[in-house]
Amino acid sequence: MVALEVIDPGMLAQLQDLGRTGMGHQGLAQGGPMDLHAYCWANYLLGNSMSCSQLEITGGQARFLVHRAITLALTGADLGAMVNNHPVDGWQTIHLNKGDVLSFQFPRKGLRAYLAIPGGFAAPTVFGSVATVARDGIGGLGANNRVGCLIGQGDCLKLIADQVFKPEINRMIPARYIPEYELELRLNLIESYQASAFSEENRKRLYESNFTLSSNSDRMGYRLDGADITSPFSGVISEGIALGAVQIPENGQPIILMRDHQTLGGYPKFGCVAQLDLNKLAQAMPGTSIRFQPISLEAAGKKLKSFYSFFNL
Amino acid sequence: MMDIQPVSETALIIKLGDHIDTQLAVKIGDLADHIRNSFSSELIEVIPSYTTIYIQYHPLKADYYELKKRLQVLVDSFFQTGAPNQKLSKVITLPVYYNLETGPDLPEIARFHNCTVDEVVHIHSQSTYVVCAIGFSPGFAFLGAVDPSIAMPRKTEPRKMLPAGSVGIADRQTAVYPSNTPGGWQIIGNCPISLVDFDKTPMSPFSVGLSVKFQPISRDEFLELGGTVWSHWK
Repeated sequence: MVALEVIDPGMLAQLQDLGRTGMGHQGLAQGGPMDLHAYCWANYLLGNSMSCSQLEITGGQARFLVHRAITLALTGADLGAMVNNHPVDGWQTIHLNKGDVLSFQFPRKGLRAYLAIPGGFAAPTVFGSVATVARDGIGGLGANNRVGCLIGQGDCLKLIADQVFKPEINRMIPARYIPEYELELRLNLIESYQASAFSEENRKRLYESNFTLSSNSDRMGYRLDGADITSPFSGVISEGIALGAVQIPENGQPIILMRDHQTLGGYPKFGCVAQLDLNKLAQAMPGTSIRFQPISLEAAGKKLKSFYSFFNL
Repeated sequence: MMDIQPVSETALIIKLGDHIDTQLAVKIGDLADHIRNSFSSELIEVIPSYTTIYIQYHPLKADYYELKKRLQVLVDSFFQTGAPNQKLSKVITLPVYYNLETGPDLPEIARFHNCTVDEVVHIHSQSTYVVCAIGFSPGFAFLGAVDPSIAMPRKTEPRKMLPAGSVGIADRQTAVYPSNTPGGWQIIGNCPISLVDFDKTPMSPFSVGLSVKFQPISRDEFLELGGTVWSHWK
């Protein structure tokens, strides 16, 4: 059964779930929602399991035609969502009727919105996941289709659940949980990998500099412009890369590795951005000012554990 | 050597050496399998590569310090009892059509080493290689070690597109590109066998520590095996 028909996918629309895990040793990137925080709240609003697939809408300008009465949850960026040209607020459940048009304008705050429906969207799983990793040509509606894994014009997003109109669900996220997608970010950094080999001067420069998010950033990596950080080596023997790893390539400009990051890499790395901070970073527009601050593994781990416990991840 | 260090709230890395050595890669491949079999859902990824094993774990199902202790015991006993080395006996043989029409960089390698194209092909197809790591793209296996007499650095400008099956050399490594991707390795031939299939488990014949050999084939055999000659080389 078709829930939504894509009139215009906008800048970028993808199906995402919690990601394709356990295939890294074969070279598969995990994918998954760039803003896991907003994604989890969208499933939470509908009482969905956290693995229910959602639509990640990046940059807005997308339009969808509703094919049957449906309850959905919208979280993440304010992309100027409208139903039949009337503005609707995010971070809540929304009931739509057959024939309604749900549209998104240009981003107003943040970059990526999450659209969930009861039970998630139907799509063929590949190694247990529908998560789209465009670079690997995997996931989305056209699993195994190296071209069609992004959501495109005319695609029909189908249901898994029988009952998707749930007028009894009227939920809103309390305002205190709704993040401000600021124009200045402070990212907590766990020092690891080759951090101890960096000179004290470069370590200081990394923490004391203001970086700017480059427009040359995507689901694989976020590039920063700013002070040159000199790495103690030009490369290291390729090793497994963690989500949030901060690579320092030879040009001295850090790259933060995001959800579609490659599995192995040979650039020196200073450590990893705390995973909860990546959610805010995923919403940042190019030009956002970024600073790093150190955090202990224990402190970062404690925060992440409470997030995992709350959402039952 | 063995050193276990945390890398993030959900990941750690086990370092087992500090230089590239194909024998170490064989051990690391077996050890990674052994770790995968010794744990369950608390480990999310176990990724061996050259000298390290990267492990991603579930933050609620595993604690770094307990995991580190368990891994230390497991790694120590693995090396003490002697690695089973099951992989050493298994060799994957891949057919390769070595020719200028599939391997446009053959003449350059020959020139670089002051030898003939036939000698480059002969040396490349005589060695047995070991999968040292899998990454870059799905199913892309880094194979070591290429004989120094045909080793060559990457191209200064990577090609924007390479056809699937392209066999390349980069320094002392060789590999088959399993899918159409950009790439900067020196291309010497093409393997017509499909090396990645998302509908299959496992999706690729490679795993770290396995041995690989290349078998030269003729143009007819290449075409018969489903190979296609690509005419867009630049």
